Order: sequence, then C-alpha cells, then structure tokens
Amino acid sequence: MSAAATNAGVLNAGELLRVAGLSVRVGERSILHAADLSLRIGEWKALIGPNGAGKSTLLKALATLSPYSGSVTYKGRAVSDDPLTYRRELGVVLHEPLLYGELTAFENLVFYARLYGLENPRRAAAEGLEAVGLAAYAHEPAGRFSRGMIQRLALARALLHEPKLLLLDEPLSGIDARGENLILELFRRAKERGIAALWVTHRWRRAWEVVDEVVEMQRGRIVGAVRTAKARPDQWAPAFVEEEPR
Amino acid sequence: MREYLRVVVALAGKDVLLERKSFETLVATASFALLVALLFHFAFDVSSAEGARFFPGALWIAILFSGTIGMARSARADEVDGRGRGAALAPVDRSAIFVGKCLYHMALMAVVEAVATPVFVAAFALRGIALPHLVILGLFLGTWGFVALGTLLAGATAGERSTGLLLPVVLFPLLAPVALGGVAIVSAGVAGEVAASTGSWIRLLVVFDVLFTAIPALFYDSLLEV
Repeated sequence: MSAAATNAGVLNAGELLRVAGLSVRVGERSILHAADLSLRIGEWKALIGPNGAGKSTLLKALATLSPYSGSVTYKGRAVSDDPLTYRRELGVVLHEPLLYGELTAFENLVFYARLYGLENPRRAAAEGLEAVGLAAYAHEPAGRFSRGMIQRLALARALLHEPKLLLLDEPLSGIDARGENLILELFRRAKERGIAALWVTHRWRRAWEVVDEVVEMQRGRIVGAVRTAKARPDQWAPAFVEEEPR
Repeated sequence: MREYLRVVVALAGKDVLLERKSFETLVATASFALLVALLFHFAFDVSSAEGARFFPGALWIAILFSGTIGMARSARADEVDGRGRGAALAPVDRSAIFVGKCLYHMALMAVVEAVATPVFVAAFALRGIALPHLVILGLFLGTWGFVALGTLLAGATAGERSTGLLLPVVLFPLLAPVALGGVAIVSAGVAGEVAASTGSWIRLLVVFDVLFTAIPALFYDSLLEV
C-alpha cells in the first residue's frame, strides 16, 4: 500500500480506528498535538498520563463532541464524511454519566434505546440492567445511586446498542474494589464479543489485566506505548512520575 | 426521515417525562402567566370595550415572560452534569436535538396558553371572541417563532451563570416581529375585524417561524461544539 493510500484512510486488515495528526485547540491554547493512534477490531488500549495530558480531550474529540483538526478514520472512512454510521457503532462513557437523575435506571436506558432506534427499547433496557447487575434497582431514580452503580449504569447505556468501539473515560474512578471487579468483568466480556476500546485511566495496573497496550500521554502528546503481552506491570513504569492509587 | 422523527419524539418525550416527575417548569411557567392576568385585572379597572383593546397585548406579555422562564429552566436542566450531551452521541443529525426541544417547548406553551387564555378573557371582562380560529392561529404562529428563537438562545446561554438575566436581554429585542404580529392577529380575532394588514402579519410570522426554525437547525451541530 502506498503512503498516499494509507493517508487517505484505506483500511488495513483488522483495523477499526485510525487517528492521524489529531490536534485540539481551545482558544489560543493547544491541548492536543498531532496524536497518532490506531485500534484493531477487538483491541483494547489504555491511555494513561498525568492530569492535563490531553487524554480526555482526545476521547471527546473521538466521540465527536469537540472540534479537532487532523484525520480520524473508522473502518477506512473519514468520520467527518459519515459521522452517523460512526456514532451508531460507538459507545461512550465520559466522566459525566450522561444520565438523568430524576429518571429511573430503566427510564434512562429506554430513552437511550429510543435514541439509537433499537427495535424493542424496553427489552433492551431490561437486558442492559441485567447485564450490569442493576435489575433489582431498575425502578429506582438514578440520582439515588452510588458512584459505582452510576458507573455501571453508564456502562449499560454505552453498551445498549452493541457498539463496536468503546471510549471510556475513567470508568473506575471513585468506586470500591468490588465495583471495580464487576466493571472489569464486564470489560472482559465486551472484549470477548469483539468490541474494541480506548480506555482513559489512572489505574493502569488494573487496566493491564484487560488491555492489549498501554499508551502514555504527556502535555498533549503520545510519548510511548507498551504491549501488555510483552511485559508485566511490575516490569514497566510510565515516564511521568505519578503513583497509581492501589 | 423516519429515524430523525423518532429521535425528535424520543427527546421531546424525555422532557415530558422529566416534567411529569415534578411539574416544576409547568407550574412556574403557568403560575407566572396567571399572576400577570391577576395583576392586570387589579391594576386596570377595565370595562369590556377597553378589555378587548388591552387583552391581546397583556396576553402576549404573559406568554413571552412566562415562556422565557420555562425555556431557561428547561435548558438549564440539560446542563446538569453535561447530561444533555448524551443526545449528541445518537446516530442522527444533531438538529434533532433542537427540533425535539422546540417540540417540547411548544407542548409546554400550549398547556400554559390553554390555561392562561380563558383566565385573561375573564380578567379583561371579554364577552366573547369574534373569530376564535384567528386567535388560535395568532397564538400558534407567534408561539412557534418565540419557541424557535427562545430554544436556540436558551440553549446558548444555559451554561452562563447569569442565564436568567441574559436570556431575556438577548431574546426580547429579536422578538419584536413576534410580539407585534401576535398582538395584531389576536386583536383582529377578538374584534372580528380582519384588515389587509392581518394577512401581512400572518405572512410575516410564517416567514419568521420557518427562518428561525431552519437556520438554527442547520447550524446546531456547530453550536454544540463551541
């Protein structure tokens, strides 16, 4: 394949997402500088780095929630050319859960199921709650949920329409060990189903259990990556000095 | 198109469901409109003839002020934890978010106007309305333009701390054609005197409504990204 063809976004075998020269500016300030990244079908990558490294900015740009320059191709096609197909196959968990606290867990998922045009929104919502272990709380207002339950509900929302790509921003933040284990188990199951993911996290040692690669960012740039199959978490340390909470 | 309409209905339905949980926005909006009727009733001792002259203006004052409160509240509700952005992830043109919100605001204002109009009729001692269908048309066209512009500006100012102050300041000057046209058509309907200018006001409001629905819908995606 020629370099020109590669730049035009021709699909490599198994490649799902390719990010080339992605930059984000907020006013005069550059938040993200020419990030390059690719993701294969079913591949999971963790994005780590200190606060302000540009991880969440990269995720929001990939979620089509903020303007960017550079190229993002999904299945070989520029996302800007066909954002609707891309969003149909995209599941997003941001730091904010994007849920309505006044509505019950079930009502929240029915609403999202309708947005995604699912055939039977009520059944999809019930199955989604079952999958994340919240069926018993289906008719409780989401505003009464603990942080862990909110994260599980947000994950159910993101998985409702069976996406091919997940963008996850700190899904383990503020939850206890039991909640972490539950979410990691959900991630493993999603990975088994061939869903790919880009996962922003500070808990990279826990992420190591699931992801195929850990990508490090600093000051808006991707500065390094390690394949998890080729190293153990105790054999590798990120360049930035930040001890992960244990 | 079917998919687009489905999302519009889902978004408007979500707002109706949120409203049904507390009726906060409806109660605040309708109470304000009724309060204006009450104030006008006590402030001016209007006989039936004078009432017919003041009724359309007073009714539109109540609609514009109370509707502004309702739309500002509704836009702020979507700002909580950025939850309104969830709809931006849906696989549909983002103008559906604007159209869905307009649909909900139209429904909200329809309820408010259905409650407030008979109260205003009583407050201004009207013996009857000569051309009720013209009054309904005037209310519909005026409300449509008001809601289209109000939804856009309420969304744009919802993130500001002083949105309650900012929205009327930016919205009301732009609403001059709606207020003037709405009052003129409702006046004609109350008095039963349809002049040539009534047709002109109807045409002006239709153009205003279509423009201020289509233009924001076209650029709503860019607005969301700012």
